[in-house]
Amino acid sequence: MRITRISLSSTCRDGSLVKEYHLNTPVDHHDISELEKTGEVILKNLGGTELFTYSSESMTIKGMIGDTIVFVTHQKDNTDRVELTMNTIFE
Amino acid sequence: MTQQKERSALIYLNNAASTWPKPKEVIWYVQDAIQAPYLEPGRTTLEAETCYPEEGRDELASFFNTRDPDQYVFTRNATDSLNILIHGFAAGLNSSFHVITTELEHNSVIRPLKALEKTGKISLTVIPSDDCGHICEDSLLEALTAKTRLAVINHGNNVTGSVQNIREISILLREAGIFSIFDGSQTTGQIPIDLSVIEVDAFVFTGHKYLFGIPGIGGFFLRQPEQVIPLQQGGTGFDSASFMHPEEMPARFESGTPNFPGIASLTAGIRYLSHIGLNRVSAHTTRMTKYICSRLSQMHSVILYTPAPDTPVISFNIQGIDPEDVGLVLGRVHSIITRTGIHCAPWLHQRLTGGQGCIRMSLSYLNTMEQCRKVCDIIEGFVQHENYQN
Repeated sequence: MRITRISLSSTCRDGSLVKEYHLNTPVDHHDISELEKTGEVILKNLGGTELFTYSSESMTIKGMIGDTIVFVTHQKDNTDRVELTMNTIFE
Repeated sequence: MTQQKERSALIYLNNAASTWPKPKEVIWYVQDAIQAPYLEPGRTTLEAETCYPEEGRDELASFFNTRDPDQYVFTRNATDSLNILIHGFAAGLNSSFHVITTELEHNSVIRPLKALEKTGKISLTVIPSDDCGHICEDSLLEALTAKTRLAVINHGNNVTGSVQNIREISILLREAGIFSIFDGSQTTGQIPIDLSVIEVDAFVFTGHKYLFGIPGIGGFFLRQPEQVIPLQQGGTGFDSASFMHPEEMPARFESGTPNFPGIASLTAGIRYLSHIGLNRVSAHTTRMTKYICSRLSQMHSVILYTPAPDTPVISFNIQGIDPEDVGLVLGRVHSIITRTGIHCAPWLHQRLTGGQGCIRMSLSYLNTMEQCRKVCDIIEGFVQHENYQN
């Protein structure tokens, strides 16, 4: 898996950035297991679709199992750290 | 999936932001406009070529049933129009004054007014709306003070789908000597608006919503131009030896090269709607809206913010479910495009959703009953599912 595109989606009131990360293959349960090693993952089911929220000290990731886009929220100061983490998780 | 396949699978319910798809008549006319040499009176003229700004103004005057096409000014969008009018009106008054507005306003009204309030130029009264999203005329009268000079009122709302009684409100404001600006972004192209009998001072519209034009074109109707000071000057294609910007309409508020393809799209959109007839447009969208509202109101955990909206805007939440999650699954799994969040209406959302936001579905004439049925079936599936934990 690799990141194919990153685009800024919005900016929150507290100054944190929301970015769309586009992946070349869909997120699967193995990716969720990897995420669980470095932070907390909450899984929800909505109409048969599994949604996940990953939280760590520096970022949150929201997305769906089976989708190729995830939404990453982080403070601007953490940009380098977040990019490194994302590249490590979704390499 | 190819881009074309992806598009054909979409159920697009974000028409209150921008209508999609555009009618083929609009696309063809824009293509023509792009291919044609850019001509305009005063700069260059060829007899066989269309003058898009002149033609657009004629179409607008006919659409709003007014006599003088020069009362219409082209802008980039409704936000641009509202800024020109609000700041231009304020610039014409030397002392500070009082402004009345409503809790229904979009940030395109809230932010210019808040910017003026911050400088001390204006004081502001925000009048509330009732549960159906209508403002009470008595509240308007109660808000009037000796210093009130301006009222900026939302005609149709982008969250509740409510439409104000513009005819009655404009009479009240005229009698009180208050300059009135109505934001018709959500009503123009949805319901008939006859500016020959409605006593507004200024009426704002945009092209890319229900007039089926492309983004980048909007405008306003202004009855008495001298009440608004133009804040921008530049080339107009005539009187070029003068160092002063012309005062006559519409050049008073227009400078630089016009947006020819945008104006062409607006013209073609109006023609498209006029050919169908706004009553027919409204009948179709009302039927679809009633169907969706009826289905959603039967789902026990759905909170429907306006059970009977005046325009095809349906805002809702599902108890215990994050609206962003609903929007995400609708969009990414089912190709249903809605708009989640607070819809640039922070005052209204504070009252309706406590600032948490909701899911908005907004229909256009080009949506179908079949799409409405599919969307309701999917939402029903969300409601019935019990494994969601927030």
